Amino acid sequence: MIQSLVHSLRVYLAEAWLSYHGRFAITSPFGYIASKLGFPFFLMLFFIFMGKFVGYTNPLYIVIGNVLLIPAANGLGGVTLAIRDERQWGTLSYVLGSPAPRMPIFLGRAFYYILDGFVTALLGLAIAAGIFHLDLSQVNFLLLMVCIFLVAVTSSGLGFLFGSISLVSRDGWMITTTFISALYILVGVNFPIESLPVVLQKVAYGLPLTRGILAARLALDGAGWNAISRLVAGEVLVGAIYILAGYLCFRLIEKRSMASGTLDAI
Amino acid sequence: MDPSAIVASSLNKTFNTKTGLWKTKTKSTIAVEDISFNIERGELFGLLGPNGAGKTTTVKMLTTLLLPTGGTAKILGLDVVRQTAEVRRHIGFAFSGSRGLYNRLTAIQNLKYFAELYALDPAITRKRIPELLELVGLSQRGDDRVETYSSGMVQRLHLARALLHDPEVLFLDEPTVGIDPVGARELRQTIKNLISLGKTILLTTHYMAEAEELCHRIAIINKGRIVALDSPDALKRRISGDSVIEATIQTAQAHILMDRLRILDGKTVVELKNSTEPEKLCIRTPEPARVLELLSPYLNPQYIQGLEVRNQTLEDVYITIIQGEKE
Repeated sequence: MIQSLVHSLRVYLAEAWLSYHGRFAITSPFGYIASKLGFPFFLMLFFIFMGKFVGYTNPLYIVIGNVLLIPAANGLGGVTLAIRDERQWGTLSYVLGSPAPRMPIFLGRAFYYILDGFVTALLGLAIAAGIFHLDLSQVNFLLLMVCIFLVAVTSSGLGFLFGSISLVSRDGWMITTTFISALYILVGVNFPIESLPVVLQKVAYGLPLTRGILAARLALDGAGWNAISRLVAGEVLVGAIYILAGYLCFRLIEKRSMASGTLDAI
Repeated sequence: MDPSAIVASSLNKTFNTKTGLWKTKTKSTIAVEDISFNIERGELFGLLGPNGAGKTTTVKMLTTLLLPTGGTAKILGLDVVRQTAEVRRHIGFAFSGSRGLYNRLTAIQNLKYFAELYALDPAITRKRIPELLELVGLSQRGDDRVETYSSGMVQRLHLARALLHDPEVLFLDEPTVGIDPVGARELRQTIKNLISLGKTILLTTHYMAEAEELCHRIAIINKGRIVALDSPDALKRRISGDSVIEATIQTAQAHILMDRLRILDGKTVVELKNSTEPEKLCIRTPEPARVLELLSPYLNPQYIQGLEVRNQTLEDVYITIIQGEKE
């Protein structure tokens, strides 16, 4: 039992190490910063200026929404790629042909992206606060950090789901990027969810991030744990459902691929 | 202890593919049909066959990567479908090709990662990785990223990875593809050394000389079925002719020579290889002396430019069997 747990932990850490080395360890600092902060930063600027144009006086609302989308995009996009790349590299047969437990193989892929997304979001917030002279005097920083970390974890659930789909569909990455774009509308990044049609509001509450972003906005206004606990619990639950769904999807695809011979087919 | 390392009993694999968006049609392709064989511990068993014959499908079923449609397979007495995790602990496998490794990692990093998947003790990993890199001739390049490797080096790293957890049974799918002659010879020597260490190896290959040199027994597989299974020597004896006479001839005179040989009985097979330049007359015969006697009046450059008499090779056997299957 203990031996099995130790092996699972070692596989999890090996996977975490691999996802880091395989993707970013060889990137130059400029390439890394550009890929992590460049795109979200310019997109955030776009929304802030658009907000100013339509009469938003406080850019903080838009800044925090977009900052929280950084770990979300990391968790969703990064984890999807980490799983999809196994298929492209032809390594899936060797990984799944080993006796290693599947759960840590699967979950380990997200470790680095969660950490990376969390740190990058904090960095993004600090830069945006400096540039736009944001008033952060009310902020409950500890809870805000909890919310950012939570969003990074729960969004990886979506990554697991889309990553699993990428194992059987050539369009997996296209579906993922389309979905990331849809998140700008659905989860309350730039405007309140209440502005959405009722059907889309229901969709929004069925997704990770929505409650996390609401909780982060409350933390930004200085709210305490009692005020955000229900939102945090909801976010944890939704994220766990997606992680579980992703894992079950992964196992189902593994079994079907073994029957159909498509394990490493591109 | 069961003397068999690998037992395949009536293995079958059928692939179903669906086409069409609305009115879907299912097409069934039989990749492997009723394959049975036993491989003893310490044996090097070869699987030969043309592309698409079912070699890799068979290997994938035996390595737990593909579920059989029918039949059973056991590795060291363990069922490949029901005792998958146990089987995986005892086998190593390497498929040909440049894929299957993490190209951005070094050879050592790749091996360390796979050592974790196989739950190797860190102390054993530290000892085994340099040993294996030495074994496959990559000691000097262990710290280089795999993306800088030649295809031959990648192939050798595949073998090192397959040996990491010191498995009793090895599956090597065309291990010398893409390797230069010197490298291929070294790799063949490595495979021989593994056999002397008591490993059981199932090898698939296109290279007849390699199979003849390495394998204790060979199964020739065609269209998903085993069409011959024996030792290389026994396979060679199985074919009707004992000798092969290859005559390099003047194209215009081919029909004269063919007519001359027509008086021989049905045990002699005469084939004109007009795909070669100059053309060659290939005669498989149990009576080489009689053939040479018939051809002797024509042993001058006007008719025959060169003559070679040799024993049957495994390649002759293979071609005869596969061509016989086509007919």
